[in-house]
Amino acid sequence: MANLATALEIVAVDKVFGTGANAAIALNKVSFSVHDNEFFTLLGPSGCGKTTLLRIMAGFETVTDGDVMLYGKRLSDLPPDKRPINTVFQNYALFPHLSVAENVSFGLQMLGRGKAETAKRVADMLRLVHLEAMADRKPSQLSGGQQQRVALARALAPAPKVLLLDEPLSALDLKLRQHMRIELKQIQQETGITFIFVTHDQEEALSMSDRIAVMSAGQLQQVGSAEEIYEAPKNRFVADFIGETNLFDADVISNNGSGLRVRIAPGMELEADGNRPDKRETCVSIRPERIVIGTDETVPCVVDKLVYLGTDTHYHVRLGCGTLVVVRAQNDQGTKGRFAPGDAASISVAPGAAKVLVD
Amino acid sequence: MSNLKRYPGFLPMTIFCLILLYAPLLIVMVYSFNESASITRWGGFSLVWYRDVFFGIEAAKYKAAAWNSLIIAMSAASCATVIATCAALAMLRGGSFTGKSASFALINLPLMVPEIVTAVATLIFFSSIGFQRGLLTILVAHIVFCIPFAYLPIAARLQGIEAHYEQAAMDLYASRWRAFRLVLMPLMMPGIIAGFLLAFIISLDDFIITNFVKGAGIETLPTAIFGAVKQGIKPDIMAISTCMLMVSVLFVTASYFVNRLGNQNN
Repeated sequence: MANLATALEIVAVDKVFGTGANAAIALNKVSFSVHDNEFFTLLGPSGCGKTTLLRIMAGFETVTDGDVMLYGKRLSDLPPDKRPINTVFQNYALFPHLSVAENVSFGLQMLGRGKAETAKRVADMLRLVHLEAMADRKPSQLSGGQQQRVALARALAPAPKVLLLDEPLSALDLKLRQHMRIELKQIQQETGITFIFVTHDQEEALSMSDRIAVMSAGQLQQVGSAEEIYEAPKNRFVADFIGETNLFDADVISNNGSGLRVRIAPGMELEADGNRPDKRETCVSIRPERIVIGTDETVPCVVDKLVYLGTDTHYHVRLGCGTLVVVRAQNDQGTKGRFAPGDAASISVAPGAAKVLVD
Repeated sequence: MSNLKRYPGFLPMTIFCLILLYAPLLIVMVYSFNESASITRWGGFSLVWYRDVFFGIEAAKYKAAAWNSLIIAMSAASCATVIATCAALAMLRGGSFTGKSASFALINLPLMVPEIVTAVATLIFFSSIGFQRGLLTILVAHIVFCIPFAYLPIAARLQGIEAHYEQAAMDLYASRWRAFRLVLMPLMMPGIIAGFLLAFIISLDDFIITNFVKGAGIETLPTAIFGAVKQGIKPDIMAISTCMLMVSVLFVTASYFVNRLGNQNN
């Protein structure tokens, strides 16, 4: 588990590309800290600035304003080769003219480590990624998954303080990707190196990370554990981007201090977690799997259509007022095959499922 | 493209072009092996003109000219390749800087300026600064016009190499110089070799500029051949020409294979 000492700190970083009329803001006052020995993920849609932020950490881009600190030391003025940070590139960027072993030893040689030490470290790294037998191959003779492992071994070999991973799994097929998620997490725990992982794939982020920073349009939206991000999204963007959700524009009826009583549709009032003082309207999120579809007539609705997803079925139901709600039900004996489009049904929301969002 | 052959007149046009391009070369090659001294009548196969070139009365003259050509081509191509490599790095890896398009135009200008203009200008330049004409003037002039020829394959190669490789090297604690020497340069090597070979051939067969800037009594192979032809075409000229042609073909082939090897590696 990560302990709470701060490894890397991003302090009010701004990044603007271009000048004058062509200026594009890539990062807007982004601040967060990454803990020592943490698996930290930057998650966001493409163009949200997460890769720019990673390149700033690595030293390939400069900040327009703000600072990057590593264990309390300013990094902003150091070139990439002076930073104890290594990167696994999206397309791996393995040196095609060098063998696997030469690729892995590159960083150690640049640091001037001894021959024996280098050889031992290379052997250890190749063992860590299960490529001992491939040491003399050229990168072009390896499969995509193997190249990915070499890139990982190469970046880990100099034992960096922080390892940056730029969507390293995006080029792999689904099965391999799922396998590598488990392995990456395992390697992070084994080596004790702080990992900062960039991805647009929420499933990847949720399954591996100690903490996740969700970014959008150059701004940090929320930082928290996978559970916090999913269960208690702070705003509309996070709720909508992570998983699926039902968003309602609700009227605030009363405020009891720890939560709000809201009306999300005519005749449908419930308690929602969170607080928005002095607001008469608010956005509320309810995850589809926290809504139960049945026939007990609590909130009547009509099944509009259903989407079969193997383990689950999504029921799109329409309330009396016309609001569309998505309900996710596991395909067990209870609900499977019980409803068809056009059927009358009812829905009820699990206690604590509704979350108040800041827009 | 598959139905190109169906265009009317495709075959006669092709044959016409091929004859126009290659018949003169073929005649020179064939008649260099002619027994008789005539350049029109075939007198049987013989290597007599090659013996004449290598061991005859004028052998010493040709040998000196050939050495000059080789030394100049080698040095000019080497210098031009180094300069062109630096230029390519600046143009393609130097980010944006003021005068970038102007620099690009300047690098490639020698390809567009009529050679005779360059030749006269270079001659005037050398005399105005009082540069004694000799081997060195030829070398300097050759370096200049070889640069764009070396630049083209090198830049083409560099363009195909993603910036990620150098970034990965620097990320792994290599300084800018070591990233270039250990990663970028090996990847650029096929382009650099191709650029060198092209510059070498261009220098080897240059006549116009060389003829203007060479000192008295100094000949390269092309100027020596031209001098000899002025006194009438003799079959030994054909033998020398054939030898030069072979050297050129050899280098072009080598350049082709180097490029192909490089593409396979990536």
